[in-house]
Amino acid sequence: MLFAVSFHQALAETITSRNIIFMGGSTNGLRNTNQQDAEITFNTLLDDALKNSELKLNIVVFPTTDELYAAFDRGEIDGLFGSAVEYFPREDQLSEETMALGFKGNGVKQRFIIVVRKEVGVTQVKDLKNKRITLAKGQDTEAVFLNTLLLRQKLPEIPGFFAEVRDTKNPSIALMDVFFSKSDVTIVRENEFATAVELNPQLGKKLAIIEKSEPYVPAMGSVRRNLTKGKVTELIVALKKIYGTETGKKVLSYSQAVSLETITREDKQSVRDLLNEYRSLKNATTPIAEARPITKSRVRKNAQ
Amino acid sequence: MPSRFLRGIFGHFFLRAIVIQGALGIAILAVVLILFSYLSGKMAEEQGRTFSNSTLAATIDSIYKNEYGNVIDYCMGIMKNTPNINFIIYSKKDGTELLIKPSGWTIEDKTLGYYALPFENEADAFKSPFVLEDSGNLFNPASSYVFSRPIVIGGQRWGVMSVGFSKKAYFASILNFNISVTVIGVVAGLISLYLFFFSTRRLRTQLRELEEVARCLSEGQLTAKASEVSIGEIGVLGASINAMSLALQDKSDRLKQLVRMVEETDDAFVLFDSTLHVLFVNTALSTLTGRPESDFLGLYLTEFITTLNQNPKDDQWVSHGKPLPQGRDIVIPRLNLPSVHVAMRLESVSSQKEGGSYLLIVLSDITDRKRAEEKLQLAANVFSHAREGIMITEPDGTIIDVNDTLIQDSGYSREELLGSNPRIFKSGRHNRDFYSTMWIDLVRDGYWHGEIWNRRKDGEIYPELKTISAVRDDKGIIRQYVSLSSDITLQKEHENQLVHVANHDNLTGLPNRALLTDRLNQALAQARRDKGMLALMFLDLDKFKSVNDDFGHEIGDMLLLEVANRIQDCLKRDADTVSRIGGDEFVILLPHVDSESDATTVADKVIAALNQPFYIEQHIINISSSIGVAIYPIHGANLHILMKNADTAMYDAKAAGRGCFRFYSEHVVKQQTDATLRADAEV
Repeated sequence: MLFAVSFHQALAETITSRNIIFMGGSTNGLRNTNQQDAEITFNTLLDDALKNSELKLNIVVFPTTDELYAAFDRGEIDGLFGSAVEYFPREDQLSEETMALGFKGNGVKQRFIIVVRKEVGVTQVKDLKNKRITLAKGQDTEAVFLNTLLLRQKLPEIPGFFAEVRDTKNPSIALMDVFFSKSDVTIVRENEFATAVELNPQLGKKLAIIEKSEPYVPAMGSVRRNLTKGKVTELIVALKKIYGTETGKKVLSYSQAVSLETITREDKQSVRDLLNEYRSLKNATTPIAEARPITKSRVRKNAQ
Repeated sequence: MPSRFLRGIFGHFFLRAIVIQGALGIAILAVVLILFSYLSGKMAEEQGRTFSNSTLAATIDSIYKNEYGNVIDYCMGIMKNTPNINFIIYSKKDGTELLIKPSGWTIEDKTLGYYALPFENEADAFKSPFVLEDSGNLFNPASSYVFSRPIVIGGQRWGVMSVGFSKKAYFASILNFNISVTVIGVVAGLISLYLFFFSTRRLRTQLRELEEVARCLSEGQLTAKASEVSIGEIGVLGASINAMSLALQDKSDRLKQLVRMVEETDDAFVLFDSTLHVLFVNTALSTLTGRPESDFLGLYLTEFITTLNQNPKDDQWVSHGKPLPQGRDIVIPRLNLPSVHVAMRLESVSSQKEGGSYLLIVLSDITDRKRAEEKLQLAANVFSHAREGIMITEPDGTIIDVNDTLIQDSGYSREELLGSNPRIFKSGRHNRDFYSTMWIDLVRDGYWHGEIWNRRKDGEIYPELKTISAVRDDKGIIRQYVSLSSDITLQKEHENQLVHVANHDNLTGLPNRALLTDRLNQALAQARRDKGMLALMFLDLDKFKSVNDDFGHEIGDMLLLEVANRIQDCLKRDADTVSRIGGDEFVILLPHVDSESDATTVADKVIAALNQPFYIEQHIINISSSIGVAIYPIHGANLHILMKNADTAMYDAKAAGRGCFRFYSEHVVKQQTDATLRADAEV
């Protein structure tokens, strides 16, 4: 950890003297990959994309969201990317020029769906009480949505509502847990469920969707507001260039995404409203930054 | 790379080497494929063992906990990074089978059957039982090796794990191997081609030189020579080509000589092909016929014969398949030119090339020969029918031919003459000098012409007018002598008659004044040489005019004839001459007298003989004569003085009374002169 701090301080000093932009993310925001793979993959792509440019972009993945925020607050990184729950607490320090993953057929927004095994016989969220739920890593925003649903109905949040909360690496495993009766319910993005059914149509026959959210931007990223517009533009161009390559497309496919697009404030509004509703339902005074009731560590803790 | 190289002998060798190399490569590839198929199975077996061990180790816990989602997630993640894994199957012993592919996964129930696979050595804890199935052709990329092994949890068999390995990777390997071999083969071939091309440069250069020499030879440049100092058999080939070149050159030279002979010869050559059409004519034919060569080329034999203005019926052997005639002499009329005599000869010429035969007609201009023959014939006729006797001898004088005239003139037969020497005609009238002069003239001038006296076989001597010519050859050497002779016996007689008439008196036959003068000169010359004496007498008949007047001129002439006879009778020596120099004037020449008395004796006898009566035509005529005598050298040293003095002496005798003679005397002459002067003064 000491090494990491010293490293990040060195990075912060470098930022002012060089045209190097550091973007930070946490493992919570990574789906289907780990910290090391993500850093190596992204940085290799970025080096190649910007080899003829004076501007350099580096990706730094932090183990937790808190460490991500700490690095951002210390100025060690120039921007951050992650789930909506991770993004919004620092939105006021970030540029309006925000980028998000684009999904096939759905643009940058995805609906969250609550999937149960048909044989469980549940058709409403409230009937899931004391059932087993499986949540995958990085499903902060999905958890906010489910908690909001529960809170609307005056029901306890996830840890108190479900008999068991299982933690899996990714939503696909979560869906197979439901399929193989290791769990009764899970919440995934609409495209994730479609992909799982595509891999095994038996899932579509055996599982049922009992709830759908409105479309949200599930993850996004941006740089600090004080970066010059020229650098921001150059950065956006470089990122889009990355995802125009075969390797970039492969990296995107890990998140079932097909593009990296610039989004507007209006695009972010629905998820902002969701977080605000959750905050208001849970505690009107809780700032949005605290609207992270479910994190990987917390899930594990609660599950245990 | 020049395509010339590939078309050449080296390209020939190179292409075959490539074919052999390719065939060997394919054979090796076939062996490698069999070996590769075996090794692929072994590799699949090893990969299956390794992959299944690692995969099972990673998923055994999830299997045990029935957390198949983790198993599926793990396996699909593995398969994303391991493209040659076609599928992974977990077959539970109850028949439930989890089929995981890169494209998805399904749950099967006793449909795949892997759960029931039996395994060898399953009971042996020290061996890993497995089953490896080969699903098909190695070259089918969709086919797989399927490696199956039992899954044992807690000592109990849970089921079977099967892994399908795509043969694509193996196929790709062998494909890469094949491509590599092919590329290497092609590259090796190209390198070989280059090295072959480079290393055979000298060889190709030498072969090109040979090719160039052969081309030169084919174009007739027989002086082209190939290098004999070349690599191996090429040097030997070069030497052989040079030998062939020399042989060709020799034959070519001979052929050129032959062609030159044919072209330059005066004989016309006409060559017909096997269909009897004119194939070739030389320029001599044009010269011979006065027509261009093009008039004859391509003509059929009979047309050719007709073109020569000959009757083709004479050559019916052409259409009747008869043997070639020996040939004949013909005369070819020519437009605006004299006709030519031609000897036409026909020859059959066999053709080695076509196996047939050609007809060769040779036309030889024999006009000159014909003319020569005619000349010879004419000469023979002349020889035979000439009025002159002709004799031909060898240079040594041996007679080799004579004509009939000579035979007739000489009286010898032909057989007697041939082989003899002209000496048999020798008359004996000519001395050795005569013949020496004749031979000297012959040798020097090449001919001799003159009269010669010969002897006939019967011994008669006769004169001949003879011309002898030496016949020389081109080198000037005398080969023969030709003698033309005419018997001039009659001519000689005629000439003698003319001479006699010219030198004698018609009436008496006595020498006339001319002959007398000649003989007197001869006698004077002889007397001068001998310092001797001669006597010249002038005789005049006394009163002869009255005889003519009394008896007529015929009686007078008869008297003169009788006088001549009586005077001749008085002279006993042959050398003495009586001449009638005018009417009744006679001169007597007595050479070789010793004294005046010899003259006196003759004068007395003549005077006495003429004083005797003459009985002529029943007439008795009496006459007398006066004689004047002049003695050489007493009375004169030359002819004119002697004649004058004799005449003077004769007048002295007349003056003395006639019927006497007087020697020339100077005082008598003085008296006569004084008397004459006095008579003139009286007048």
